[in-house]
Amino acid sequence: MRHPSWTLPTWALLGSIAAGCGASHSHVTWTEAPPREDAPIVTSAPEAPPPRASADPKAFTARYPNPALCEAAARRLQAESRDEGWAALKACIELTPFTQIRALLGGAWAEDLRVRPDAASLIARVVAQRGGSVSGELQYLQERKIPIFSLASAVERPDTYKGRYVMLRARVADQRSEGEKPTVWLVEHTLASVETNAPVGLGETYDTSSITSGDLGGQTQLTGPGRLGGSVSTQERGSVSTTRKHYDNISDETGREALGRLQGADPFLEARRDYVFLARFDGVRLTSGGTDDDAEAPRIPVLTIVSYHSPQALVVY
Amino acid sequence: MKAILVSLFLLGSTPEATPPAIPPDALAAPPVSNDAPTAWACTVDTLREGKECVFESDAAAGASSTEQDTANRKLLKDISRALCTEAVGNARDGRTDATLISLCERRYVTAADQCGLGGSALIVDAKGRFAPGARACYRGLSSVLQEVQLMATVAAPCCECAARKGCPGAADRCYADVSQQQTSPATLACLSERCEDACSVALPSQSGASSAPTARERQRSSRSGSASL
Repeated sequence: MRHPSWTLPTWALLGSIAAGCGASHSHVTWTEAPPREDAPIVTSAPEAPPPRASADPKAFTARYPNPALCEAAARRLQAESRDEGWAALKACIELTPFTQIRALLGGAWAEDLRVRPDAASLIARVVAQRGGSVSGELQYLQERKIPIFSLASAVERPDTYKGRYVMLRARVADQRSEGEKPTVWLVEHTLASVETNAPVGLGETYDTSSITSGDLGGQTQLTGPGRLGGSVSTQERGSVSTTRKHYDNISDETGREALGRLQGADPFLEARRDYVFLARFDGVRLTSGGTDDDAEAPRIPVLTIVSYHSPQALVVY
Repeated sequence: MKAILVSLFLLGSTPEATPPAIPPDALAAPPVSNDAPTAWACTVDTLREGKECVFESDAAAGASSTEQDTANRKLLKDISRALCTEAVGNARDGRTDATLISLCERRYVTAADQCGLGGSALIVDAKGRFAPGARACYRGLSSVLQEVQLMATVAAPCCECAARKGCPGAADRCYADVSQQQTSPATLACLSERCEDACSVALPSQSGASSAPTARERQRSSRSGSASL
């Protein structure tokens, strides 16, 4: 589209140059300029501005072919408005398969990650979208000094980590409620690599069996008449196939458990399914099980669940 | 000079520009923890039902007092009859057993003697949650109720019969001995003679007849082969 102000004739530009020249040399007067001719004005309607991420996040993300370009556009918006940039980044993470954790934890978003109330949940969501390999991702978060920690660290030094954010991959094993506030029993899981041999192409199986029998009769001078009989049976079975090694991620228990407070009953938080949980660590409590000695009694960490996210099946490294 | 000093003082006392407040959920905000009890707190209900639980309550610790110690123990002793009656009734499908309830109460009251907490805190808070320091007390009471339930399930019919038929070692001792299979030979002989049906679960099985095959026998029987010529 052409803007009306861009349709000035060439002479207008020349006139401006002449004016500049006049300013420096003082030998051209404005009254000598040729009469202005009206240029044809294009009357088409002005193009609508691109959708604001805060107003229409779906329309914003739809303009970019992949999450990386979406994040780059969000970064450009950040220069105009921090709030608008953050809204755009959230849209990129929540509405596209965003897995670029390095872009998220890069310098451009550092201040937003520090002060925005939803930053920790956004990081947890990206970790889930990257497959939920929490132990590996936490190492990277700590390299970038993001204060989100492992359940293992928190349990080892409860006083140090009390009130801080922890992230864990876990399943809900049980739930009890007191009034409107349920508390779930979480069993922590981790992803482990398992090697398997999968057959490739055609295989061959053979099965052979044979029975040979005989009967011999006769007589010798020494022994007189006699008969000798018997049978031999052989069987062979085998198979030939080509296999290829496969490595799969399986979710396995770490042996750690925790209690997680929920804000309210949540039917979407299903039992026996893995989730990436972001929670506040509220310390540890003595349990009723175990030995009689309080010093050796089992302790269980208590968490306040902030958000939870379903991990993607494919893990991004 | 005084005017300058006053001006400097006023300048010094003007509030500095405060940085924008960081929301409590932000990563840069100070740690926030919730010390309130969860729905998994140990209560009289979890004690009754034998469920796993955690020790947390709203009861604040205070200065030790003898009155509090006595009050803590009394509080738990007062509910002994209700807990024992329920434990026995549940194990015997609603049937009551005065002897066993009495045995339960005596043991429960003895266990409740360790529930004073030295008077340093309330043993249970307003919602019936046991204090964090009450684990030993709770486990003692829980152990009594579980043992009584075992006795009610395993030994009660046998011990009732033993009492009726005048076997030695009846009453309280019978419940403990039969449930732990520590019955004396004389009592055992009497039970097997006079209460065989009622005590079939509790009596040791007869050795010898119709015993299961031993591992060696099984191994021998599975070995087979044939040859022909």
